[in-house]
Amino acid sequence: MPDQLSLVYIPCEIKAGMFSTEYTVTVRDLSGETISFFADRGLVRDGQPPLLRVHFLGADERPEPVAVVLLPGSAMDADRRYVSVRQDEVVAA
Amino acid sequence: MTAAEPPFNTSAIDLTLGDEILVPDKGANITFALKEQFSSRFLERNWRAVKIREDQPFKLEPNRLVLGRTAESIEFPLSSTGPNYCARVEGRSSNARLGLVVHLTAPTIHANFKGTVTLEMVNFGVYPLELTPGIKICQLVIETVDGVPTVVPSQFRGQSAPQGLTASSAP
Repeated sequence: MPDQLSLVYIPCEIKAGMFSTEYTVTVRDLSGETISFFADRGLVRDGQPPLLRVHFLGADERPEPVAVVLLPGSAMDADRRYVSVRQDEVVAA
Repeated sequence: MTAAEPPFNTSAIDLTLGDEILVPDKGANITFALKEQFSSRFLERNWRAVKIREDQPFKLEPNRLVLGRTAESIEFPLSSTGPNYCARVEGRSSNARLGLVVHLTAPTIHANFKGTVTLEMVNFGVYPLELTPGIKICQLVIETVDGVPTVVPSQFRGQSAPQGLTASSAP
């Protein structure tokens, strides 16, 4: 697994943001909860699906391989600042 | 910025206004419920972007709110070995005397932030103010952050909260 706080990518959904330099990004936690926030376009790698740059925080194998990642600083005013995702969704930066 | 005019002083870094202003639709008969989880859709639909230029400034009338952004993009990357940083955006005293504020209760630029700084600008003065790209619009006060975020391994799957990031005054 990546080192703690190393940069990785996770899948996300994107829409236009308010400013031309940002996207509205939505990520989904394993619990099903979605978190939306504005993020600089430089944090998103285009693709299908688009990938959001985040920091890897930790991993657990039980009951299934799970990774916890820290969302970008622009998400800190959102309800959540981290999400749990499947480890096979984490892409090395 | 030139060497003769550095963008920093003893305790802050000056940032300049970018070329995009967001203006809320005036007169729209809308009430937004703050209990809604996130207001992005509301904001996208009810604000319009205006490009400004040196020869085409934006006139901010008294008691109007607009959003701006800095021309400069900043980044506070996280490192497990530190040091880590966050910042607060503050106004400039000369503009404040004219009634201009550049943030409304949201001055914190968190550690792990990357991007331009969004400015919530209101003219509380009595005269219209011209906003031109490149003017010094705000200043950034950098703070150090103690510790790094961690999770409790037994509390994954949406139940744990990263711990450990706290701001402290810069040495």
